[in-house]
Amino acid sequence: MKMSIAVLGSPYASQSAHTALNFTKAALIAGHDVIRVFFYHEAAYVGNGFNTPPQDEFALTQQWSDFAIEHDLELIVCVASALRRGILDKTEAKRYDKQGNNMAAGFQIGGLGQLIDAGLSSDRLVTFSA
Amino acid sequence: MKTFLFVQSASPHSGLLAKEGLDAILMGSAFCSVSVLLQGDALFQIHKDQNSELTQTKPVANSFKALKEYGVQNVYCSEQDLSDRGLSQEDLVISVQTLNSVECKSLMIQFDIIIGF
Repeated sequence: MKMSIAVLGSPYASQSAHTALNFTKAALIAGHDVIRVFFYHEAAYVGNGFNTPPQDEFALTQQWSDFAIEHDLELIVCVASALRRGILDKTEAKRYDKQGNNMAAGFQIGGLGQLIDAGLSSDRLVTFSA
Repeated sequence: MKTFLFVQSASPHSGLLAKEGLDAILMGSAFCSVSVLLQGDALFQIHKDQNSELTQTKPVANSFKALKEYGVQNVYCSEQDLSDRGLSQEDLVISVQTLNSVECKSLMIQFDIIIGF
């Protein structure tokens, strides 16, 4: 089955992105195709590569990055959600004249249209709410 | 063409979820057939006479008025949610279709995709 995942919850104020990661791993193991993972609303913070939890804690952003790179998964962070929360890739940092960029490896900036497209082009769109 | 139901559940001034949900609704309406269900305190999103200047936020109620122009014909809520909050159609900036509890349940199965905010 073709699946897409929408994640809405903050990485450190909800279980959303953690459960979504476990679900996505399980979906791949079960033989499903995961077309896209779309991070929206507070879940934009998951894409913050500057997240630096203590070494003995679960590193959510790092885990998503490693997982995406290993399985060639498309992780999209909504541009509007990301920019207002200070999550910028190199291009956006340059566009808005900001000193640094912090988009984690394996994540890409994208638009809301890609959430709708995920719904249109998948058999299931599974939302992990805020 | 697939049909989308966007379910808004957030109250209008409890963070950005109401606004970001609405942005997704507007985007969705550009691509496909979209309906909206306002659940629980999300009904306050379309309450008249909100003064969002006081909270330095953008008024979400105004955007709901534009939904028709975006081709979003159906905005639903449950009769119970409306009466629980002491609201009637006259208190709202747009007209909503009220559903009883049986109709609410059968609404969900009419759509291909349901996204909740």
